[in-house]
Amino acid sequence: MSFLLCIPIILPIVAGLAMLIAKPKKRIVREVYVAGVIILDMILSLIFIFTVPDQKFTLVQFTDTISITLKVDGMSTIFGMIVSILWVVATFYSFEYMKHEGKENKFFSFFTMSMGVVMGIAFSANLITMYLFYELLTMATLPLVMHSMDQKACAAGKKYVIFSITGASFGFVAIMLLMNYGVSLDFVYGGILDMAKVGGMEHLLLAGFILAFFGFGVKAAIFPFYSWLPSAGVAPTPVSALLHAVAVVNAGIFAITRVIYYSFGADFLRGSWAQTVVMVATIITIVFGSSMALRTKHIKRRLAYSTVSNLSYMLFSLSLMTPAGMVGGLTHMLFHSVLKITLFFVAGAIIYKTGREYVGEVEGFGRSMPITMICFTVCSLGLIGLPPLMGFSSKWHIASAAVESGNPLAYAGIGALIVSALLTTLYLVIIIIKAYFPRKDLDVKTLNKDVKDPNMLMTIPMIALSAVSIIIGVYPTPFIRVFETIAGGLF
Amino acid sequence: MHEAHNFIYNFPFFCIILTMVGGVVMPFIRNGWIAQKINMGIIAAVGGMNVAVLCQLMVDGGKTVTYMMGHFPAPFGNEIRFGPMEAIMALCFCLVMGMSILGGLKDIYHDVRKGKQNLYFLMINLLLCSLLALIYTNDMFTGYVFIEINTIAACAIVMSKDSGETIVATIRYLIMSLLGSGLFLMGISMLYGITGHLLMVPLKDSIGDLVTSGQYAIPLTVIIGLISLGVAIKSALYPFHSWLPGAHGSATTSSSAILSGLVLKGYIILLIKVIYRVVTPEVMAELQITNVLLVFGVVGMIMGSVRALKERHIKRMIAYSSVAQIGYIFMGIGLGSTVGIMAACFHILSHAFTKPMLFCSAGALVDASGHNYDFKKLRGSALKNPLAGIAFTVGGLSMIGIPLMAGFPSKLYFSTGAIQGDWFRLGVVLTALAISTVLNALYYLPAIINMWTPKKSQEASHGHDHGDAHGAHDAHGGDAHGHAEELANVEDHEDEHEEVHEKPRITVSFVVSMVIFLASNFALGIFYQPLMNIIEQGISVL
Repeated sequence: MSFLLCIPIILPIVAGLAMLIAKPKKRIVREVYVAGVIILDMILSLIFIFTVPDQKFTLVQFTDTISITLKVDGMSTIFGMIVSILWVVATFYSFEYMKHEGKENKFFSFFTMSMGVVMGIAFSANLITMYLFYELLTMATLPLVMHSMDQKACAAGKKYVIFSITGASFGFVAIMLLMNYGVSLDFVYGGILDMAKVGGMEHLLLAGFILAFFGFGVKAAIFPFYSWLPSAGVAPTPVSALLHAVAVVNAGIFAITRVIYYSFGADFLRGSWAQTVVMVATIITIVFGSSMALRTKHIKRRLAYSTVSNLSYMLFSLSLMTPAGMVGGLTHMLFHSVLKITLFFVAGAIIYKTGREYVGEVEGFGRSMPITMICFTVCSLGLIGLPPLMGFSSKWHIASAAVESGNPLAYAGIGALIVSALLTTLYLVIIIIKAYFPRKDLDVKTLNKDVKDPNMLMTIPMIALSAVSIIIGVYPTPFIRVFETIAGGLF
Repeated sequence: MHEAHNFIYNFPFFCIILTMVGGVVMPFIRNGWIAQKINMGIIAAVGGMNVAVLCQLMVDGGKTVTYMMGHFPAPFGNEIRFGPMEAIMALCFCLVMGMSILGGLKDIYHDVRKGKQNLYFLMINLLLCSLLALIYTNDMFTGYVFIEINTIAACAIVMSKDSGETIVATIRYLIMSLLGSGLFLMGISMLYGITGHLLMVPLKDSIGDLVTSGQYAIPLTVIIGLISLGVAIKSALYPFHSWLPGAHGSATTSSSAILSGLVLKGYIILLIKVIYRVVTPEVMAELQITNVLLVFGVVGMIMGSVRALKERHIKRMIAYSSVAQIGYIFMGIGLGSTVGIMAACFHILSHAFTKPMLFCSAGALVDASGHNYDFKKLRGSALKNPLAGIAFTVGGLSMIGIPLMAGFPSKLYFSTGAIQGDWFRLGVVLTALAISTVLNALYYLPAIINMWTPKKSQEASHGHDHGDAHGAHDAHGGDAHGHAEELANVEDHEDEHEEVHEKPRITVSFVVSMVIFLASNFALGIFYQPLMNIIEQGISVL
């Protein structure tokens, strides 16, 4: 039965290619087709995630040690679940949103294909497989970033490709080192290094780890390789929401988790100079991302900088190299995904209905777009970390993991978290205040005459995600249990 | 030393003679079409014979066979010697040669003057003959003779496209090539002077003696240096590449494909044979020539790509990419280990299958966009000729080194070789590989995206409509959807309309060639292990 594992990956890719060739002309045909494929794929992924754990399926055997192999383990479960469920939500949102962007056939073809590729990353059982899908992800999402094909989009796309491929090619160097100094390339909790071969070559491998961290970290927007993410905001909003807040950036986080905990092994890295280097980088990114967000007036770019900062929360937590740190990172990965995708949906709804893109232009929207702004408020407060909402428990776990780790740098990290929380409050609350309390002398009524909430296709995803964020925020325990088992190496 | 006892072991000799005879016959066939058919027949026969040779060699346990032509011993006779590696190289070369001709057939009939087309195939036959001889020979001087034949045939197929540009390119090519073979000739004559041998095996013994006794240390360095330099010039290693973009960029499609994919490699295979069969890798390393090749290779990898980045002319861009790939191969030789040579040999094959595919598909795309070579002007061409588009895309991705494609195993083995080498090699080669990957992506991806993007005119109308739809949206809110949908539908129809009108004729030969190239590219990328085993076996008995 294990061969079924490749279905969630191949189905969307084939379906997307078929659509690229067939080019359905009627909107309804296209929407039913895309929704059908993506929902089917989500259902299949969830079924496989929950029914066939710990089975391997080798797609292609290159040599005895190198193969393209799929497997579902704990990490795949989390990433696969986040991605497949949010993908469905984003699909419905895009049906409405993409009406004003045009070229929908091309968009939805690549949108569908990207899902297969991301599932490939989630299900990959070794580094070579992950590398393959990682490169493919860049290729599959590039047309989405360059969707409008104007000068700005092309420049952003070019930047995205340069950054991603550079990162992956340095990551590849690390993979090669692991191949020569490891037992195999499979993901095994605790690492695959062959200590007999490593002896004397520790610094080479640590350098390799640095390459892998920053190489794969490019997709997770680590400082100083973050700048593609704000630029990529020129893409249509569903892309920014799904790919640049969830799928692509989390693929970066996912890859780094695999590299730290499943390839080099946390024990090998803990306390080394390499750990110091990466921790410093994450701490810088946390503060830097938040401050840039505060300085940026363009809503989508502000959210993108906020993503940069939040991704480094996860990276900081992961780089503690302890199981508790892994729990914190994974928790924040899940929670941030839900929150940030909703925030982007709201920004997109504003652009879609009014064409306004800047912070100052949303004055009085609390009254004109009530549903949208309520969702924004809920998720903003969640991201700020107001208990009992979502962001609180994840940040709590990160901070407590940092304290437990006993690493002196971790305290600096906690400081950065506090500063960043303050900045997050500022850059999100300003928007909320503007929306609900417009300036007295402003004639909001005439200014926002035509502004109303978008239709159901857009509001329902936002409402649902906000509701989910509240529910999980109040009852995070079951999720954290799962993360703890994974970080304990049991699943 | 094995004597030829099996009839099949006569085949390599037959191959060389058959292609030569084929070349001689060509002038008498006035019709280019018939000449092409005969030529394909010869290539197929040669390919088939090489399959037989390879199978027989593998059945006999992967040994090397020495074959004396006419059974005359050394000073008068001439020897060929072949093992699994030679056989597989010859086989792949035949396949690539045949497919390159099929892929660019339309352009051959278009570019080469009527009535002279048979002569084009004469040159192709001679080229194949000389390549086979370079692969199979066991005699330095025979190697030199066929290098010259190769040069002349290669120059002729560049010049076959009748334009001022090709004549200038050919003259540059001729001068540089002759310089290269001149150096090679100086090398072997000096070698003859100090050893008195031209056959490879006795040469190895006497060089071994010279090295152990410490005699002629400096002349030996000079000789090996001259031979390497000659080969480097002829195969366009970086600082000696200046002739390549002109020649490969301006020639007709098939010529560019064959020159890039095969001709450059023939000399390198000869060099690898010289290294293993005459000089031995240890002596090479001792004389520091390995290190020099490594440095030149790495510089070539980077600089070739950098020059390709600046290039707007699509075929010149692909030609510069060849300069970079030759850098890879020399880097593999420069690694100085068996893994390095294996990687270099595999890269010879993977590049031989990828680059002609790129040239042929680029030729078709250029054709589809009204003979415009500027890659910005190729916009939308892949939509008109999707097969060429797919081939170019796969070729580009393979060059970048995406897994499942032919470029990936090379990258894998190059880096393995680097990691097993010393610190200098590890650092330099891994960094160069990473940088070169990025550079490859930087020039292939924009070209790929560009050719799959609809034309500017369509784009402009697109943007306009989109603006309209948006405007309508603002005014009517949700009610405008019907309108927008209508517009989208109209656009879709328009797209189709134009495509049908401008669709170029895609010939059967082109389809066959592209399909085989694509299949072999994926085959190399996926099932590389058996091939690597053959190469490894071949190198061990070289």
